[in-house]
Amino acid sequence: MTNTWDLLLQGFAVAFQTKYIIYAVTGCFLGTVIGVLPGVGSAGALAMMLPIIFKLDPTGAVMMLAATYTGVMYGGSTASILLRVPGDTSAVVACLDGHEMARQGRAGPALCIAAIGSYIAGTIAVVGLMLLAPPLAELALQFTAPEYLMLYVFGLTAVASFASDSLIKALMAMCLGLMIATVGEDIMTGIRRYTFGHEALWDGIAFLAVTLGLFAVSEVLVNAKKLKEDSLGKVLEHRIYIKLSEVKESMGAIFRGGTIGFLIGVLPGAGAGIASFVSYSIERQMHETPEKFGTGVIQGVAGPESANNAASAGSFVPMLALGVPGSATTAVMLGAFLILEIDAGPMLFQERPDIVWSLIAALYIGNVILLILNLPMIGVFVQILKLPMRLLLPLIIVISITGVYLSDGLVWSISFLLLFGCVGYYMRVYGFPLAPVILGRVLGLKMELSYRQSMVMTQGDIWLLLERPIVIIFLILSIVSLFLPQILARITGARKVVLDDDD
Amino acid sequence: MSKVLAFFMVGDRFLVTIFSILLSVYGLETLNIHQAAGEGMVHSASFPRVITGFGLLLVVLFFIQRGTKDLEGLDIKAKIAEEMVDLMPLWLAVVYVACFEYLGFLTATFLYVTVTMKYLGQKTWQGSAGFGFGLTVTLFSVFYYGLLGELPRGELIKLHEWLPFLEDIRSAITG
Repeated sequence: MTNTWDLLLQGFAVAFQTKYIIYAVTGCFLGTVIGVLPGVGSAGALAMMLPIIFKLDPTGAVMMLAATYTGVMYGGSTASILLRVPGDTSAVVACLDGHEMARQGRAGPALCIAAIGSYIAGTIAVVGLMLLAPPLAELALQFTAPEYLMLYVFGLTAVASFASDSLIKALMAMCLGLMIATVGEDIMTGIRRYTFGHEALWDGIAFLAVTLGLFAVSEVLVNAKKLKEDSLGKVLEHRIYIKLSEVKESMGAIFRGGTIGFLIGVLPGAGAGIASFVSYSIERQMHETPEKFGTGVIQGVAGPESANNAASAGSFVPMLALGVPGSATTAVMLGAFLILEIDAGPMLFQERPDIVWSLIAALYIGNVILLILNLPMIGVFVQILKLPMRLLLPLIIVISITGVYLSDGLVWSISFLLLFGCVGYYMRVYGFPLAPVILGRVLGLKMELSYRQSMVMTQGDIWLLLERPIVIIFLILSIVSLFLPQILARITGARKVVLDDDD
Repeated sequence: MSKVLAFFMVGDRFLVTIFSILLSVYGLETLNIHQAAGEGMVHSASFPRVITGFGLLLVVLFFIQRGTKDLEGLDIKAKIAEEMVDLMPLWLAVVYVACFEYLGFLTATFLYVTVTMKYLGQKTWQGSAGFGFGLTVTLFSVFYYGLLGELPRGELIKLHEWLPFLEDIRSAITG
């Protein structure tokens, strides 16, 4: 323990050198700017930094990449909260309550709590990374296909059950997401499915086109309709700073989100997106009035934002301890390590402690810099909302279309963006939730892989899966989460019962 | 007849009907997914079939649950016409995308923003064009110079050839 502490202090001593602080500030700033733009994502942002970091020494390069990563995560949330334009999976949840807060004139508190939550969760994750990296990496190794399958089932049921007033509609939305995920090449056999002879579909339907279509384009259509009907609310005077009471209300969510996010981040392949969805679902279940979620509840921003930040740090555990990247972003980071001639894996802690502990220190410093850099900037960010709607709406469309075009250079993908914009609009009009579609799209392939591997392991006997304790735990959690809204409604005597409220 | 039509086509029922058609096509298409050599009972079509089965069960549950309570006194034709107009910004975006590669990013974006702003209530064409120009230049700078992204240059209107400084700036940035 003392040794770990000493090493961390050494890491901080290195990281606090002026040139490294400059690298970290630059990384945070660029990360935030890139994160605001849809289509780039954290992995893309780190890839864009590669030509720059090669000119730096290994410690400086690693610090700049880590700081960029934290910046991208915050930048993505900013665009989600203000414009409902999520740039990445992990930023999707911020659209739900974060954007609602912004619409009510509380964009400042939403951005503040995102920054504060990210900072505190980042701190939790760094402590976790420092203390728990080796044992948690071992635990993650015990997760095989059946455990992952049930984790994904839990993630889907938890979100679907709370995403809408109608469980059936939410599950249909989830099915749609799973269907979208299966388009393209089968990852296990290479067989093409649902491509109908179109080469452009071999890689599937671009995630970005689906997400931006459902959220950003549908938002434009909804607001354009209100603008034409003259039913759009007047531009609100936004409160820039957060009240102490709001911070106090969010503390529980931040700590829970930070812890859950870190634990999920440690699992290879789980990622920040899943962490934020799970955190949102848990916060909703724990809230006194879960039905208010989605209407601008601050815990709905604090929890997921903390979770995605902590998961980002958590995903470094398998990379550093095992040399296994836990996400696309850490895969890019691992690639950078290879180019910098740093061998990630079990020996890294012994051979290059300077790199490991500088990286951990940089993740922490990145969070501090983000807080210093972004809190005063919130007033500037909020001004975006004061732009007239007739300017803001085409701006969102052009940013979305250009973001999708830049991601793969195909006009085909933009067609999907518009198609899903139309789908998203009607889903919103008729009370279908959007989040389960996204989660289904994100988890679909992973879930299929786990399902098929599990079936092979058990030779088709699904009951054999129930001999595994972790599977049983997730199964119970899935069932509980699926029926919890109805149970809560009965307990609290609420008039609204989930399955009957469509009428 | 109209009652049967309304049962499947009114409001959220319409979306569920579309979903069930999509799901049926999706399920039937699994018959065309070939099994790779050496694959056992769990193959490329297995998971889509699970999704299809589950999805169809949900569709049936939805229609049973809804019954016919909300079908009285609805004018389907008027509702469809109204919804087509609601989607006007989407139709403008479709035209924008269709012109994206032919006109190039700069021209297409300028025209799209100008027309959309006018449609959304900007008082004068001059005002729309002014905002359109400013927005186009700003976004072009961010994506083309800031992110060094490749944007369509246009096959019909070759602005990049007429305004060579656009490339000169980029060359200066990339060195």
